[in-house]
Amino acid sequence: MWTTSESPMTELNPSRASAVASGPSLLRIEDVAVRFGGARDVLARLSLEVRAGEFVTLLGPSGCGKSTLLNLTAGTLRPRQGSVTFDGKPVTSVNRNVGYVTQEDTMLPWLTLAANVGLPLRLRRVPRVEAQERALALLTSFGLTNAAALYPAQLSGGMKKRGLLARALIYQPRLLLMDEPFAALDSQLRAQLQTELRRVVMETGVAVLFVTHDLEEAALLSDRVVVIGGTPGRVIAEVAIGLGPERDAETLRFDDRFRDIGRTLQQSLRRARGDNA
Amino acid sequence: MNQDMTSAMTGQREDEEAVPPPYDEGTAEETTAKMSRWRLFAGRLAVLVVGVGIWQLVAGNLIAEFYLPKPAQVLTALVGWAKDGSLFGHIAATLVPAVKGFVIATIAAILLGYALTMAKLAAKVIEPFIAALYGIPIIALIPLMILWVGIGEELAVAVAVLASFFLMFYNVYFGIREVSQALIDQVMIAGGSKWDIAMRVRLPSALVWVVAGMKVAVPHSIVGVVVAEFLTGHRGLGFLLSSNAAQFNAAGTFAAVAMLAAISFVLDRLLFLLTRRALMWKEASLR
Repeated sequence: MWTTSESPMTELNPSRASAVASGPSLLRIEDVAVRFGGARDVLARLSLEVRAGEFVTLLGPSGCGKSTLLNLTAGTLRPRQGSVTFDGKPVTSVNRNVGYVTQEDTMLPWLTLAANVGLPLRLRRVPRVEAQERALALLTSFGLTNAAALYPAQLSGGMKKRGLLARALIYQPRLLLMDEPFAALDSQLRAQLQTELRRVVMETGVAVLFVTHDLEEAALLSDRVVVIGGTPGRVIAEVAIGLGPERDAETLRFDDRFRDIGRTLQQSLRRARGDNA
Repeated sequence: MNQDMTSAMTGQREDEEAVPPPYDEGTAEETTAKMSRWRLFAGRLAVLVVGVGIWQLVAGNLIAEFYLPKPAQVLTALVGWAKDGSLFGHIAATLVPAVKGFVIATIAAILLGYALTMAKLAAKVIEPFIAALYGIPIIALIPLMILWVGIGEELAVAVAVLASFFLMFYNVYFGIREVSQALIDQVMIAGGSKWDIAMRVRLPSALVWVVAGMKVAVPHSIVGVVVAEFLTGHRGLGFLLSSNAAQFNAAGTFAAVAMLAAISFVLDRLLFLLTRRALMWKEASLR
């Protein structure tokens, strides 16, 4: 499906594109290559930067190494070559300054929702009572007060996603990693959670590195979209999404600028897949 | 219940804040729980009564009492043993080595299971040998055990250990090993140490398997003791069973079997009560 030879090298200079954002550099991935056994790299010579408070989305076909970039940032994976720097320090072991929401359901099934959300605080030696209070307060802001005492098996998909987001945010990380968090949800719930995520990001000022293969989701949420594709995966294009901080998903769909952005992303995505267009 | 949740979830946040605090409908829920528990108990009692009733009708009418004694005769045999005081001695003679053997096997299984999960290479090397040992019929090892520990209570304990160890080991081993890496990564990123991973992720995750293993291993440890008593005993329910059968005393044989069934039942209930709190989250998903 992906042919490596003919896709034109239209890589933009990452540093130029990220000049759009104003905050100081938070995450800097430089010239990394990753290989999972075998002879081929999954990622090769890829560089990426996320600035404080910036919402960056990695867009690309599945299997192009988007999630791998999140794992590099979280420190659960080491690059074969190149460096990952977070907040000025090289990431050499598990990075505890990020929050990570993965595709999987990673709630601990033997803890209640409140205990799950409070868990990071307990692991950081916050006293039990304080952890519980803070977890309940956060759950309230996510509309989950009534579910606090339930076990994960008793929660719906949407409640679980909200809970996982709350758990990733409770220790106030500076960067939130999200790996296709809304992929398995129905469109209505998905739209609702997207709006909620925008709200949380605005309120907390947390930077986000978000992975999706959904073009519209990328345009809707991000300040900047990085299109990744090819084998091995590399940056195909970077697109600044100049839609401003206040966005209403309902009206945005009919906005000309939104359509233009969609078209640009569509073209980049096609190149990322290796189609000639 | 599920519908409640869905509506709570899709509803507007402003609405949700107005919703009363969780679980004030608890009393109604408790009543239904009590009722269903009572129904369960009544159902089980009914099964027992009907079963014994059919037995009473069949024995002596369709099948000669020599082969199938009436329940009343079995009860008489049991009461007789209880009166002369021999019954509890026999029960203790079976139960004590079974419990000892089970506890030893469980501790050994948890230690070895955890060690092998941590030492992956060692685990790969040893695994086929453990499987080979597991494949040996326990009865084939009894002569060897007699040679090693003699024919007293030690033999019964040793056989109980053999009978329950592998069942516990495999459950502990896979329980600890099969924890999803995604869960471990999440807890590490959230700030967990290696110790946190062991105590807050691996252990609770293995607990379901350990309890499942116990459910099978406890009866097996009793089987082990009974087999040992068959072969060499002069006390215990296994001895009671084999000596009554040797005298063609069907009522006595049935009485011994009934005692074994009763013990298994009581132990299983005990285990259920002991582990229920720890597995509350599992039950929650079944409600």
